[in-house]
Amino acid sequence: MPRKRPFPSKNSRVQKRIWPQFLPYILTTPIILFTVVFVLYPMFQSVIISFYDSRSLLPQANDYAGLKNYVWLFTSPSTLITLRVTLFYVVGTVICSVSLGLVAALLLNVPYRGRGLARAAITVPWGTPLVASALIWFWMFDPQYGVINYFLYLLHLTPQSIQWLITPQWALLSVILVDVWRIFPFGAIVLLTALQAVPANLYDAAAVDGAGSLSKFFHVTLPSIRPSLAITMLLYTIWGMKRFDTIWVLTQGGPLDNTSVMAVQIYREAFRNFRIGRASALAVVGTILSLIITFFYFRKELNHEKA
Amino acid sequence: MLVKFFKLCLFVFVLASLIALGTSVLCAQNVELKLATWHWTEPGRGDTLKAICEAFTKEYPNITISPVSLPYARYQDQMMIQMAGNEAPDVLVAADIMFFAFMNLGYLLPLDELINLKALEPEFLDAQKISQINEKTYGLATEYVTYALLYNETLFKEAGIDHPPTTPDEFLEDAKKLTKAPNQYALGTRHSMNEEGGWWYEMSYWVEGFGGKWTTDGKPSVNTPEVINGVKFYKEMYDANIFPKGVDASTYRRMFWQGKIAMLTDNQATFFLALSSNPDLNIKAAPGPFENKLTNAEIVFYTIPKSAKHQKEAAIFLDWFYRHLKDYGLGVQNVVGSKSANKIILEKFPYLMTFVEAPLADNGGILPKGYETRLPEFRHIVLNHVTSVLINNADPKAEMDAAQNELLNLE
Repeated sequence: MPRKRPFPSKNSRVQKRIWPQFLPYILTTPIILFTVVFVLYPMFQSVIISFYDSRSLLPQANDYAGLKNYVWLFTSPSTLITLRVTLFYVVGTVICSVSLGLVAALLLNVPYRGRGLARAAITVPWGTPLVASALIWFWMFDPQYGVINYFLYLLHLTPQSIQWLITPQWALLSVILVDVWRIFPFGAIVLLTALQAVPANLYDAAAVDGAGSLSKFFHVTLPSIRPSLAITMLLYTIWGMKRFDTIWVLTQGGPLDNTSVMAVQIYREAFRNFRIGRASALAVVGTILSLIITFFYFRKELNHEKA
Repeated sequence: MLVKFFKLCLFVFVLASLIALGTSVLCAQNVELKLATWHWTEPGRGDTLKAICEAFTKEYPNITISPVSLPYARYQDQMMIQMAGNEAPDVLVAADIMFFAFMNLGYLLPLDELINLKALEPEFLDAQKISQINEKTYGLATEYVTYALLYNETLFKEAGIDHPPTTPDEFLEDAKKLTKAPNQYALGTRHSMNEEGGWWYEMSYWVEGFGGKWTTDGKPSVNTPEVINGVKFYKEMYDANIFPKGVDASTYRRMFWQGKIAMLTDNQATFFLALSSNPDLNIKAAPGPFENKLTNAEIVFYTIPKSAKHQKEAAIFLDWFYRHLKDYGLGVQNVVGSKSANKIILEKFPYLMTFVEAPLADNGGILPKGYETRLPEFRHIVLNHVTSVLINNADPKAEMDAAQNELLNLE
């Protein structure tokens, strides 16, 4: 007598229908919880604290000050300096990092001997611990013993040592240089991936139409890697707006607040001046600016895709 | 089956509760005090502190000291966060700047009711009065590091100088003789905002030497003629290129013990650091080249946070610690720390009396009276304007007037 195959139980049928529906939610719950507890809740608290004028990390009810911190923010001369420095820093870092990253990606896309080694070597700045690399640059910038001045002097490019980190005209450029060195490999890797995805027949077609190297670059390469270029610029902009560590190690925001970007000013207000309310107000404004930039980016991308 | 299972669970629960109760009773009898300071990892001072704590535990076996060690650069931020979160250590060491910040935020316990301060009075340092606010004492000043002129006698002799300078003009004249850039400089000093905290000590030293005070009667007085003269003199030193520019403190201190810098305005810890790095160094200490010979100081306080879990035991430790400081020579590297420990060091290096004898500037020198808790804002404003004088050749009077205005408008 053939063995009776057991009829599928009602429970297992229900499980097969319901389980797949809930599985995605179950899998994403931990990350959502993490984001809510460690990102959104502190942001919310920061917004609340920005309405208090307190020197304690936990403001009390009688410290409530309404919009006083925002009034200070929008009327203080130091805010204008901070915004100006942040703008200059972000624009400088983004332009230089993207340009250098694109050049590196183009060079790494061309086949040659040792290309694998070059691709590995280019990730070294990105992989070096942040504070360690900033300290090494601090030493390299040393006017007395630093290698940068040594080589400039050896090559007769400068008659005397340059005080890179204590003169206003050089301090911000020095900080930008260090950050560009550190972050351009990320752009190089992202853009390299994008370059490798460009169909070769596009270049063939361009060559048939008589396009030279430059024309191919502007009319084939750039449009093809545009989305990757845009996301890289967006990420660099957001990272630039919250950059703190390198600048603090190198200059602590000086000289004459010439490297006092928003994150440095937030830190100074919170942990040096003990003005947690003002620091939170600055942080809120910084977040809003980042969101505005992100909004415009996504709107542009959406319009481009529609077109 | 189910009944047996529940019986087993109940048995395990009761057993675990008994163990936990027993452990907590035992723990309640043994107290572990957390002592937070950046000194734990300092050569010499850290070992001495450990020895003191071990000796204390021998006398009080139910109280052990657990070190909470943080580097100085992160110490204040970490302690602020811990105290705000009611997770403060039981004993907290605070330098003067932090001490006022913590005290103003209400994080520190007054010691008057916990410790018999009258009995400790004979050993009190001059700086102890700074910890007394509204007739309450919030900390015990265990040591303070003062500043003096450290100089390399060999370099002086080579330049034909037979004694350390005693006036600012003599100082500048000697400094020009001692400078043979880039291999040798007359002075090592902080002079930029990336070392704002340390530069404040140096700037205060020179300004007070000219008779200046950062505040008078609790109000900013940064544009008085004396302060402006101090700033002008600093500018003269800057323009004369007598110190290596852009070089940080760890570099110029190294240059000092390598014999490449002739003078430092620094504290006694640097004196011992230089000698330990180069025992052949022929260095001496002298008062600053000013008529008033004033010095400033960084004062170290031992305190008990309000949220300390073992306040009574912390008070017992503090009392014992203060009475036994001299036996363990904790002030060895910081000469003025302990009046009795001084004797050993001063027999070997008699010129270090400079650090002991130098009269302290008002309120310790670096703390503007009335603005103690706002020192970071105060010094940032002042030093920013001094930077403008140094780098942009701005007029010192105009800049200090601007600094004064900003300070008066500080909210």
